[in-house]
Amino acid sequence: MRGAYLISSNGNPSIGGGWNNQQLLKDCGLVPYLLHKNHGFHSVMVGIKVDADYPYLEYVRGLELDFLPEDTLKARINYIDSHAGYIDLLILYGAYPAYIPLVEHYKKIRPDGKIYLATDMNIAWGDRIPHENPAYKNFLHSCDVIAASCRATQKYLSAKWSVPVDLIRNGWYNFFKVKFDDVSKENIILTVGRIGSNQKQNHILLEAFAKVAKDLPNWKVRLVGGIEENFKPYIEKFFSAHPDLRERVIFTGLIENKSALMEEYKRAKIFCLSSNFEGAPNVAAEALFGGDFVICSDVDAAGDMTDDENCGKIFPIGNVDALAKIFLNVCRDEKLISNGGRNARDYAREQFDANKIVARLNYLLYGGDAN
Amino acid sequence: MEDGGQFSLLVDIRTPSENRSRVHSHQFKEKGGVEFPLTEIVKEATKNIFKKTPESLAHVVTYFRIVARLLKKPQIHSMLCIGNWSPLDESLAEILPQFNPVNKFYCLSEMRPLGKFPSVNFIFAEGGEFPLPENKFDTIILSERQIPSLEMLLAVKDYGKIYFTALNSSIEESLQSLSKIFPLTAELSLLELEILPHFRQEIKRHTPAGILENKKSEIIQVVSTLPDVIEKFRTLPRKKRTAVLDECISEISRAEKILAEIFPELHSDTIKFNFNVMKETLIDLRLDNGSLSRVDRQYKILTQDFEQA
Repeated sequence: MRGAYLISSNGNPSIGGGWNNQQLLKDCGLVPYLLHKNHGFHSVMVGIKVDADYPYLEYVRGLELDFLPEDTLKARINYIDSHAGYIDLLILYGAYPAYIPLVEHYKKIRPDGKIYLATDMNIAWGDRIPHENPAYKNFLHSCDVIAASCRATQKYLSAKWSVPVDLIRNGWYNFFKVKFDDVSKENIILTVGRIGSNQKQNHILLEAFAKVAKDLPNWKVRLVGGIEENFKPYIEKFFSAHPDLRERVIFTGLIENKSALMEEYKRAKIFCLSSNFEGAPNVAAEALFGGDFVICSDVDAAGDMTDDENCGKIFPIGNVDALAKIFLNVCRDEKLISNGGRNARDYAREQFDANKIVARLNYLLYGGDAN
Repeated sequence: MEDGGQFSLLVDIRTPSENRSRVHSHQFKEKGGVEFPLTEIVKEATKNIFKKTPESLAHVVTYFRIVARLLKKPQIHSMLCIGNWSPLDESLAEILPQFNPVNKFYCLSEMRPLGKFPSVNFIFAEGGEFPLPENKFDTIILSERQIPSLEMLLAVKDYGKIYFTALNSSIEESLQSLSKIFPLTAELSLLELEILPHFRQEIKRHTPAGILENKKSEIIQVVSTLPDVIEKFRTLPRKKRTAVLDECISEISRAEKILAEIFPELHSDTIKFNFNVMKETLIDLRLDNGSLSRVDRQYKILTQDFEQA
């Protein structure tokens, strides 16, 4: 049995030195889980303990969590030393220079071991990476598979880095046995994420909808996710300016129940993402599986999220008028929405099915010897 | 002179049969008597050596071997000296036209030497960089600190020679790596290297341009097998199809790594990306998640990119 170990990066506040409960069901947990479930790996996620409990472990049975005593490089090196014989595949999440000594150490004691680097980056981040630095270059060349999570980033990194860059999208796995044969769509424009965060730019969506709401009287907007404190005054101001929209713009708050969240996607005809930057958001796969017509800003993954507008539309980042015009055109074109939604589901099954994505990764790593 | 434990003459001017140059070893004077022009040239050269500088023995030996070569070659001779200008080079430049007035002596140098040297054609290489013409010189002389390169070897004509005025550890190291390309003969102990015609192709393959071409050909070779693979996929039973695809993807992966190495040299920004997508379509096909039409489509995109690159 091959051992796949996903080791967190140290010294990176955005990652926090370990894995949280939510991440067990996202791509960072999903990949080792499916390597275990579908391909017989012994999969372990390694990092410091960041949550008190990990209830989602129930859904990823067989995937193990190993906790480091401290968030340091030394703790990680010690871990590799004591588990070297088992770590046949080292998985790294994020193209952090902090991984360089870890990789050097691993390759010294397991020259036969494989390394998969999921870059999980957007182009703006990729642009800042010191890829010509000899140590970083060596780090990249030590990896057996380096993957971008969307085509645009893959194309960008392929041109920039001196190594092959594969595409491993953030896929979706049906943990909760959601059924898609009972889909009944409503006139809902849905968005999901940290509502009010600078990244998500939800005010663009709200203002665009406000511009055309009178022409789309049967349509509602549902914003799903925890609301940032500093966004609440904006919401009040928005409703003061558009009191008629209080019933039509609904803030649901965070929906932790994943089945219930998937129901939101299934109900909505349109999913809208108005971010100013994104790598490859997990919501993309969820919306596509939900059969939503996807309208998104021109972020790195826009082409991937809409299958190059085969199942959606792309608008310039921050352009309220362009988004309003798309709302008007799309919401009044039932045929476009239903065809787009059908295309979205077909496209999701082909390109965002986590089982298929992880099978490809396994093949990239082991070729004809893949389990 | 000691040579591999034996003594041999470096220049024998006493035997007319050894002299195939245009300079007579002896001639009769009109008023009677015999004169020895060849002897005079060599004498003059010898005088120069010991008069002008106390050169190293190795350098002096090299010098005499070059003179001996001039005696043996009746053809027009083109000679290039690379590196530090020495009085011995000056001496060679002076005697060279005496063997044939159209003989030319070139010197590739970073700095112009002090004084005037009418018999020398100086080529100045800024920052040490100068593209040497291929197949141009009968003789190249490398001064003490000059490391031989593939480009220098190619600049020598077939059957031409490179002479080393000294062997130090850097030169030996460089020759060691050259010996991986073609067998170095015992001549090396005599501080010279003869460029035989069959070496040239081998040398060319190892120059940066040659390596690039080799790698390109290797990649094109792999890509050119794809139509055959697609055809086999259409006709073979499932088990055999899998084996064919596994082998093909393995080759494509190998070629992709080569492509990543030479990518900065190619005239396409997208070829590396399109190559990867080609691999992806084949893997998807192998894993029953793809289609032949997608493979066909990507193959067309890739071949267009290759034409551009």
